[in-house]
Amino acid sequence: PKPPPGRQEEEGEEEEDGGPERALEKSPFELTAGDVYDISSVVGRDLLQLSTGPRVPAALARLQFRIVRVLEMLEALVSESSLAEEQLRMERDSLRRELEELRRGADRGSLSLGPDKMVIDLTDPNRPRFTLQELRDVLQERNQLKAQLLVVQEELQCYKSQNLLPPPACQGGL
Amino acid sequence: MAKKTYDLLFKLLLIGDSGVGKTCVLFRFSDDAFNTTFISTIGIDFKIKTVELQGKKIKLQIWDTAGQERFHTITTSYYRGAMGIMLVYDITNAKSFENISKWLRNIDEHANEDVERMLLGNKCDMEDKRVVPKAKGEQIAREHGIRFFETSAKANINIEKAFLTLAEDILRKTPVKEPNSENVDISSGGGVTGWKSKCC
Repeated sequence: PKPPPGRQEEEGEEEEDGGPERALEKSPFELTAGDVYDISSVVGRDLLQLSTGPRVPAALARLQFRIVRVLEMLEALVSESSLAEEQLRMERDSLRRELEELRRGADRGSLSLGPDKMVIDLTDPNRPRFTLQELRDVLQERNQLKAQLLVVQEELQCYKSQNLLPPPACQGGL
Repeated sequence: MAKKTYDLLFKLLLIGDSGVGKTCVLFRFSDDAFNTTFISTIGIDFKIKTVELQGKKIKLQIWDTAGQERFHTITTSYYRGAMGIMLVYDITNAKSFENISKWLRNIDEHANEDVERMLLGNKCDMEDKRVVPKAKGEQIAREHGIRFFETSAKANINIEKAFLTLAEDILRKTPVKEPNSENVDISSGGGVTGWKSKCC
């Protein structure tokens, strides 16, 4: 890339820091909307010179250089933005997944589960339903009834062996 | 009122790891039968067997506990009323032997101080699968000053002997009462203070 040749007629517009052409020197990532307008005016001027100006080859070369430069900027911006977009898309997807998991966890109520907790499947017919105290009570009652049954069986045996004699005949009496 | 067809009532308790054969040991003693299907005991169960020792009719109320950890809060509440406790392990199961100290600690924590203890190494018919030598059982029993038997509920080895020996040991330290005494005090354990268990 060579500097634009001959600067004859446009002296008035290029006072400070190279004027609108400066925008073409900038990094694409530092471009502002004003810079884009500057590039647009520079390219427009070149096109005007091509159709009317006296030095067509020089203007053509300059325009070619500027168009290449603009395309380079576009390329840099596009690849940069597509990279950023891809990153954002991946981030979005992973956040979505995370949210989904958290929602499901919240539905199960397992979000606050500590190491001593367990999840109960309410649709499982064999799920735990009774407390230890209830089991204790049931077992106690079962064993009491069993003890009573044994006593009754003993008495029955007693009656039978006494050939249906009245109770006092049994050992211990009523 | 309750009629008494016996002179004394002894409450015994079977404890030990799940699957060592506590229920089978008891079933052999109470019904002289054996069942190979394993049904895990739910919480606590009991059986009654009346035996005659030294001319006395002794009713043994034998509590069979679930060995599974999840029932422990239920089963340990039955330690207190026991006058004799049989701690059972399985000679083909090393873990059940290792846990003896844990069960002994449970006894210390939950049972009466003067409870009569006994150690049983069950399944002694399965010699080919033995992993706990008899000497190791004898040793740990000696260390704790308790009796020891190797038993087999399946082959009916030492089952009755173990229960009768435990009942005799309890009878020996039971204060002499009138044979037809109305109330058999079981809550106190009928202990004679200062009685020392003798080693096998």
